[in-house]
Amino acid sequence: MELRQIYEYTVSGNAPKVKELTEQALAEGVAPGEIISKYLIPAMAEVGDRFERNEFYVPELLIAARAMQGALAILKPLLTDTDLKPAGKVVIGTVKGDLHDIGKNLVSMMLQGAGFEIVDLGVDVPPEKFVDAVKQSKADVVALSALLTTTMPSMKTTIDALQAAGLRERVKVVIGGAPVTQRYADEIGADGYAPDANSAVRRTRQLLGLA
Amino acid sequence: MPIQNVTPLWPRARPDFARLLRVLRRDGLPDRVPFIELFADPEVIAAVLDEPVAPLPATASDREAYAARLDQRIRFCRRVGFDFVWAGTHPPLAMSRLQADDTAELSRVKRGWVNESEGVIGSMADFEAYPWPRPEDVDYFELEYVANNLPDGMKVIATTAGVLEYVMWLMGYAPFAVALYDDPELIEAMFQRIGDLLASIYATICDHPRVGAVFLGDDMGHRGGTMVHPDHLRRYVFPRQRRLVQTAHEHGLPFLLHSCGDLRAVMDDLIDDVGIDGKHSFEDTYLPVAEAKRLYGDRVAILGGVDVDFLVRSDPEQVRAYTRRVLEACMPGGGYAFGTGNSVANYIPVRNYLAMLDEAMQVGVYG
Repeated sequence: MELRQIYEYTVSGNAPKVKELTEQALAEGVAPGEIISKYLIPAMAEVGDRFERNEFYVPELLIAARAMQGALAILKPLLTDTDLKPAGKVVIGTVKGDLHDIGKNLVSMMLQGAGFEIVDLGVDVPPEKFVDAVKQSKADVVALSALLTTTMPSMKTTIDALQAAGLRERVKVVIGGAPVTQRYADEIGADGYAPDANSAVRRTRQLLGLA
Repeated sequence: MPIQNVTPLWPRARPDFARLLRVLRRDGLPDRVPFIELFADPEVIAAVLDEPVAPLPATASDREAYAARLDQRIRFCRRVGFDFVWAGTHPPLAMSRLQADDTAELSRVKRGWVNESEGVIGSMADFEAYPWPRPEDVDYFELEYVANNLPDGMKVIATTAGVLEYVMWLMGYAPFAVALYDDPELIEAMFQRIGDLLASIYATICDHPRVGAVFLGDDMGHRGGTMVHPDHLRRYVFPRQRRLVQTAHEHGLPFLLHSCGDLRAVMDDLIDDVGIDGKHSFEDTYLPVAEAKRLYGDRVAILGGVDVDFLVRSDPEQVRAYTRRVLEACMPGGGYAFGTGNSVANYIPVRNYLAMLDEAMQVGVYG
């Protein structure tokens, strides 16, 4: 089989084909880590680039991510500790008072597609829940999302809670969402700001010294 | 409280819909820049009137409570110097909704949101089983009440939600986005049904003698671009919007579009193909209103544009300075009405909203 097809069908969001080809590749003895690192991660990077170039929009991104997740569901249980190390661990959530999750989900999918391990806390997440998740998961990064001007202050409250718990020096904080700007990130002491899902991946990699 | 008992904040600002119409038609200069909004939240309305918020009607059939809310709205429009009162038509479409604590300055305790992740229609079976309203099920009480109680000089701006909005709300945005590829038959059926429903509503509202313009709220974008590929908008959304525009134009009414998000990729479609007369909703993060006026002001009226995030996080003096900059950029040549970049939400400090109007009343006068 032509392994490159896994890449191509992931980019085009054909989940049944990606699943079929992944199973076929495994049957032919290809290592699970190789399928992820050589085909799935580059495919999602290409999807992110096309999104940034306005060639892909949210629907195309969602179906590509679905195809990738279908393959990961097969591959992850087969990975051994030496196969593929995650690029890092990210705790992500939409902050307290805010129920919007599309942007947060897109960032989560793209980070997963870039090889990060994700702890997704969902929406309307109080600061203490972020603190607990960082403690338990030993995350490298906390990613905070907000759609509303009125819920943005919860980002600062969350950063303050990480500080109070003595965790702030251990994690990088990245923020994003409709009203969020670099200036606001600077104001509240976040380490990074990203205007969209693909740049969130880039910024996270930069903050962890991976790019 | 009777409508005639309202004290206008700016007594010389007499309502005159012709002032706004001149702007919407880009037909020369008005005496001053008129105000425009898609809506204001009831909490802001009550605060501006210095009254308690009229209670939310338990049901739409609680006419007395509904009328009390509309009375407040009409008094608000008169008090702040509008040339119109907006009146919505809301077809009975059941949706999946979520609630969170309302963190606004004028909190209503809980604020509701459409569920983005899960809708009420996810398959053709759901579509067939859905209790679609018939045209005769649509309630026009709000329009009739506002029209019958208009202050002198004003007209009604009739508002509805939009083609893409209703489809996304009923399906949930994420399932809708995926269904564009998985189930195009369902997508086509949804747009056809919503398009037909809105067309029947437009036939009624455009025929009303006191309606002076129609205002479609159809959010099609986010800060990074359109919600779906422009080709999907061209295939499913724009033909249905064009049908509504045609009805409005056949009745001699301007068609205003409120759509959030960066729509630059499809503005030519909206202006040349759909045929909108005015564009509303701008944010500084992707398209400041001054830039919108420069880019499109010779082809459509530009409406509103005071960045809501700025309004929320600034003080009145900063708002006044911002207002002067917006008016300086947008007034030349006419075709501009002043207001917020989205709506007068209850998280905008009322002192800031009044500061921007006051400054515009002083500065927004044509020579």
